[in-house]
Amino acid sequence: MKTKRFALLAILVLALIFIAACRQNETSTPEEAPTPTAAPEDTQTPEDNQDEEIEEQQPEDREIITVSVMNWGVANSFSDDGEICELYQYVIDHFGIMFEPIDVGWDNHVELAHLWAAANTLPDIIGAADFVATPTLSSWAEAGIIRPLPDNMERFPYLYHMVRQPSVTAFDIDGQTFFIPRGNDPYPEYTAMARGIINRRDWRESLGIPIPQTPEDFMDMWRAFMENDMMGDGSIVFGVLPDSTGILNDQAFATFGDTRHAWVQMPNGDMVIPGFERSALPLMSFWRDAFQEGLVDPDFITNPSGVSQELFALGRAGTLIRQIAPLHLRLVYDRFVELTDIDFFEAVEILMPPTVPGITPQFLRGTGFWSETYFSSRLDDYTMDRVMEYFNWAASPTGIATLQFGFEGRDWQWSAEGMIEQLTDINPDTNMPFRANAMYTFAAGGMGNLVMWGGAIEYVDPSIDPRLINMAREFLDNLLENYEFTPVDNRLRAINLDEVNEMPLRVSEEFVAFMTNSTATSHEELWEQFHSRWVANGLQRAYDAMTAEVAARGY
Amino acid sequence: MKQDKSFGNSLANFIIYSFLILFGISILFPFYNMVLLSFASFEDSMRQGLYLWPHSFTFDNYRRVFMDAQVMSSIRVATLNVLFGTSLAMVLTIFASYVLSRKNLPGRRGMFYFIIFTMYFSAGLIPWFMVLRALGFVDSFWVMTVPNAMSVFNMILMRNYFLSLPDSLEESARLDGAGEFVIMWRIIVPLSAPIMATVALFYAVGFWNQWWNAMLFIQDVNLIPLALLLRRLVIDNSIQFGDAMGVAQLAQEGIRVHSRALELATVTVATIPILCVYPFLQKYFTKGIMLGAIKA
Repeated sequence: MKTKRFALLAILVLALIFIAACRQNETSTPEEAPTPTAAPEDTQTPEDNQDEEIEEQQPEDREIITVSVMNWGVANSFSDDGEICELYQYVIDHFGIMFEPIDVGWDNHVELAHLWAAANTLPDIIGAADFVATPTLSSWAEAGIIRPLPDNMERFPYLYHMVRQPSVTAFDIDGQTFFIPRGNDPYPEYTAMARGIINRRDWRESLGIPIPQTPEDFMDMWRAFMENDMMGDGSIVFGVLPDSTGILNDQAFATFGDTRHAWVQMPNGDMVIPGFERSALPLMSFWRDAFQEGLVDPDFITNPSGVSQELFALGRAGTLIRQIAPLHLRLVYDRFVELTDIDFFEAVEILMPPTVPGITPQFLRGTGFWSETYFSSRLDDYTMDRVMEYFNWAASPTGIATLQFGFEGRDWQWSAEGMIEQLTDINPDTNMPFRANAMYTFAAGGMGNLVMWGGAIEYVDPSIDPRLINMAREFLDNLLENYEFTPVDNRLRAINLDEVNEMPLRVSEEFVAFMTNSTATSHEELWEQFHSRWVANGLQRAYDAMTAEVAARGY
Repeated sequence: MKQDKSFGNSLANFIIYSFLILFGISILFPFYNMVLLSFASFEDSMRQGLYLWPHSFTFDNYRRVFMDAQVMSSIRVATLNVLFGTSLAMVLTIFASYVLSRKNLPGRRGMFYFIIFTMYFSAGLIPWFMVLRALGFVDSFWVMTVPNAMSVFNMILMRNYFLSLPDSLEESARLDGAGEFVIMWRIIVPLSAPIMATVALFYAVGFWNQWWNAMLFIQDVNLIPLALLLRRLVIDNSIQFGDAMGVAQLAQEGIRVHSRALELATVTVATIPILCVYPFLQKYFTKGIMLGAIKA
């Protein structure tokens, strides 16, 4: 009987732990949604540059150099049997460079890069995501692990244009730039953080609901979607499906002003993160109300990356909140074509964020990049110049188009309107012309996006239905005309402080914790509880440190 | 033994068994759901739900998995890892355990502590990486087995088991003229089936699931083991089923497969071999662990 008592006691303890873990309280940390392998929101319209041509190099008299390249999926750009595709041969012939691929994954590239750096075996070219937001950039630069870009970058005009953007120069160390930004967009009119609200217009209209104008209108519409068996088979339909936890506060639902996880300087000089400020409470309350009423698909918190468009196409929710740049819209469109018989353009609309009297919606505007390319200090100036020649071509409109669509004149051509016209056969799987990655191995893997992401030309990309491009363009034009843009001080991103790095808080996670809190505690009281915890976890310490640092720098 | 049939005892039994059943379900259900979804049709896979009963049943996902050259290559690498790694590890572990179980070996205690020391302290990842790199393990098949060829923990288990065997067996063999190798190979090892099976299972599972060394050292796609492939498929999303021939063939047959179902089918394929081995070794497994622990 003694054993049984012990077993019962153990079960009791486990049960208490289980109940405590299940109980929603403000100290619980929500499960982090998978990091989206996000394509950049930034876009590029290369019309202005299309007349510029890169002066072709004549490297016949130069020896061919080989450099190692670390990037996601870069091994897929090279044939296993060593066969060289026509595009790779073109690069070898014109730039005299061969590449040795060092393949890494999205989730382990940081770990591997640090290990290789410590073991002095870092590849020559290193693709990495957001090292600038960590102490890695400065520590690598100080330790001489990476080298700065060459002097006189004006020799490489497309790269020079990119690295002179304020969002890049903010990270200069001693006047030197240590990376090439990827996804950097020199055309800020289309960089309004293209995130927004994709809605089932056919559902809304079938219910006779006018275009929602206020947050309450949105709630009513979502409620109506849930109550009216929109799928006609009794299946559960939610009002709204956020693509990820990060989308909740990051300007997709920009009704309540700036709620980002970013540093902002207040008029009195204090530095704050808007998402942790009381000004974010209305948006947090909005999401909490919607979630507690069951209007939000709760699975969004743990959905794998990229599944939201599929679920939306299948009628899981009436509204999808996610990026809406053309490439992203195409992802949604493709799922409709693949999985349903619904005419996407008849069924779907992009809605502008609702308005609240006294609060001006704010969108982030400014050039940006989502990852960087670094260069090992083992590269001497001569080799670096050779690499820069290739990079400059790859960043040019012609280079980008070549890596995306193939050879100009044979696989594609510029139209009189500045659009790319593909000349290749139709791919029966996609019903669109074949792209370069289907024809040339070199363009298929990590080499295709080593310098510039395909999103850089998404507004002239012929593989995207023009109607999708127009949807995105109209939305962004509307923003430009009618909404305010959040001021961005790129210098603040570059400040690296221990007090900030050690603060274990993310606005997106706190939003989820807040919205999923099912206690009877009022929004106001709950926010106070959250705020106390944030302060206890170093928020105020980070604020104070940042404020002092910014003051010391005289910003 | 008199059985207590009181209400309190019955209630306690009820609570304990209920708990154990729920606990068992919580462990088994995800696995059950994984197997179920791995056989699900494209439409069911898309719904991504939790199923108690199969809504559909198809082998298409498994056909697609086994059509993929990368999966087959990874299964081959993992199988070779298990065969070679387990063999090497068992030989090394048996030798080390036997030597350290000899009571008349001079410096035995010192050697034992020296080996134990490596279990608790290491030079760290970077020196380890640099040493293996200098030894030529980059992009080498052997990196998945040789550096981890012997586990100190397993060696201790086996050594303790050897110590538990009666000394008289060894003395008898010695009187018959047997040397150390004969005693080990003819007397000790055959008498140690439970610990042999247990340790072999530990090693086999470890080598089957090997991915860390491969992630650090392997660039050649032909040397990627199954566990690393799974990691990239499921967690990293950096690898997709690359064999276009398989997709085309299934598409010609009008068959569609969903990526989630493919992932789960691959995970199932990776799990089944070890699950099949385990029942055959289970009786040794439990016994071996206990015996190895007694002398510790």
